[in-house]
Amino acid sequence: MTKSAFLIFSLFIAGLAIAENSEAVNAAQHAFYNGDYTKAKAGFLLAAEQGSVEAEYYLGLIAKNDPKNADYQVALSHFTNAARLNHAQAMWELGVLYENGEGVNQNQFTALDWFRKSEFASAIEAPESFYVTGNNGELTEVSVSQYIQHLTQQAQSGLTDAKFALAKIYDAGVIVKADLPQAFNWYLSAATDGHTKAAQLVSYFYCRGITVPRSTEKANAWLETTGYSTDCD
Amino acid sequence: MTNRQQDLLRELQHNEHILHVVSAEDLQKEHLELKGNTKLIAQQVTPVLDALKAAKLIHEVGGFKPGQVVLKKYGNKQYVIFKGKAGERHVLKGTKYLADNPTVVRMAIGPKGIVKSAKGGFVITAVLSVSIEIFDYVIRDTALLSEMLGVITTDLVKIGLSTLAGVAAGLAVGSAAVIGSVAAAPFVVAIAVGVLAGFVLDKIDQRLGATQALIKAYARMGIMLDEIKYETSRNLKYLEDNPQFIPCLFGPCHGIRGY
Repeated sequence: MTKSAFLIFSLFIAGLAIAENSEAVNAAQHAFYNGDYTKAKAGFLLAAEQGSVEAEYYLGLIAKNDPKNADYQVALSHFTNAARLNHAQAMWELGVLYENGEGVNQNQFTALDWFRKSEFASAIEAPESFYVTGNNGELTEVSVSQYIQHLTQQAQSGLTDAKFALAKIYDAGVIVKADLPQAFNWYLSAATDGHTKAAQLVSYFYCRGITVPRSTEKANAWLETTGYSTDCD
Repeated sequence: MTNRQQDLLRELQHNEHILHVVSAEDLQKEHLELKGNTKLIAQQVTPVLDALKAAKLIHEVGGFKPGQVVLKKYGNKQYVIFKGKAGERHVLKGTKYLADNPTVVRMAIGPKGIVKSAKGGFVITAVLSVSIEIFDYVIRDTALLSEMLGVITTDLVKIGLSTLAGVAAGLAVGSAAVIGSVAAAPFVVAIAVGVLAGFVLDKIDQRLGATQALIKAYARMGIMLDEIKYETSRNLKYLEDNPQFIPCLFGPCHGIRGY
């Protein structure tokens, strides 16, 4: 009986603490969006001490975007803390740090690791409806399969952006079930057309051995076409 | 189009935020080209541009003064992101280095609780003189959006626009749109992506029906525009009677939850 009462009391106190923490984060967010980084930082630091993942993410943003004293090391530390707790946007920011070589050694493959982790952690939902715009601007609603068919026709007719879009769809597995070999083939086709981002992803697939046998040689050859300097090793 | 639809379109157009994205390198090259300074252009480009210089270049190349200018590094390159001044609908065009046919990503965002809201929604338009993939960075850049869009960004965070960014990239083929809603967020989001050659921003709705998509989204939810009109008038009357709540129209408001 005493134990149960104690448990209920503890849960009540914990609930109060979470509500208070959430309000503190909200207040700090408002300060952040109003450009008051000093007030925002103070609020987020307090909330982060109490375990707020969101606060860690914003502290990273403040460190990174401070116009006078950008501190990428501090940003890296906060984003890493948040990413460990599955914060998708923090993962994206880690990708940006690796891509730009800010606070870390520049590495495009590690950047892509984080970008992809972020996309998966985002729990992206499929759109509810799809429309295709006609020449007159009128929108016609189409089914998912019609939409994929529309894209496939465009891709097969040689439209590079459609190839990339289709590859992204098969890669992400949000609109249709993920199909990595299909994704790779469309990325490769777009990359052959000179699509830089597609070439970067082809390189990544080869470097990480995703759906194709790992080949550092092919990975580096494709990456070279994108202007990035990282070597796959 | 009915009068009600036209009203909503007008309101959305009024609440439109236009962000332009150009490569810092291309902007400088275009400027040098314009000045006839075409010798060794690549060597004259500054690796890191500042916002003041960028604003000057935009003015000299595009013939208009940007409202806000921010410089960002995405994908290992520097980009200039700027907003026109209120009502400014010019597009920065170039002759050689800047795209003459920018990619436009348009997102019309309306609250799910639109019937009870005094707001009809708003539109974010990104005019990209760079590859569409950069939009992924822009839409996920919380700090940038907070700076460029002001208080509405709090609402953007609630929507979780980043969760839709991947879908937007998957639409980079023009002439397509999607409508989605995000669980637990009080919004419907419509996205249209397209590439327009020599387009006029005022005519954009005729080619990129993001606002039409939003109207269709409302219809799918069973909301008639007449209901919106009635409720909006009712809300406005409430505000007239209770002017202390007027600031709530423009941002978060103590004691008022949701949209």
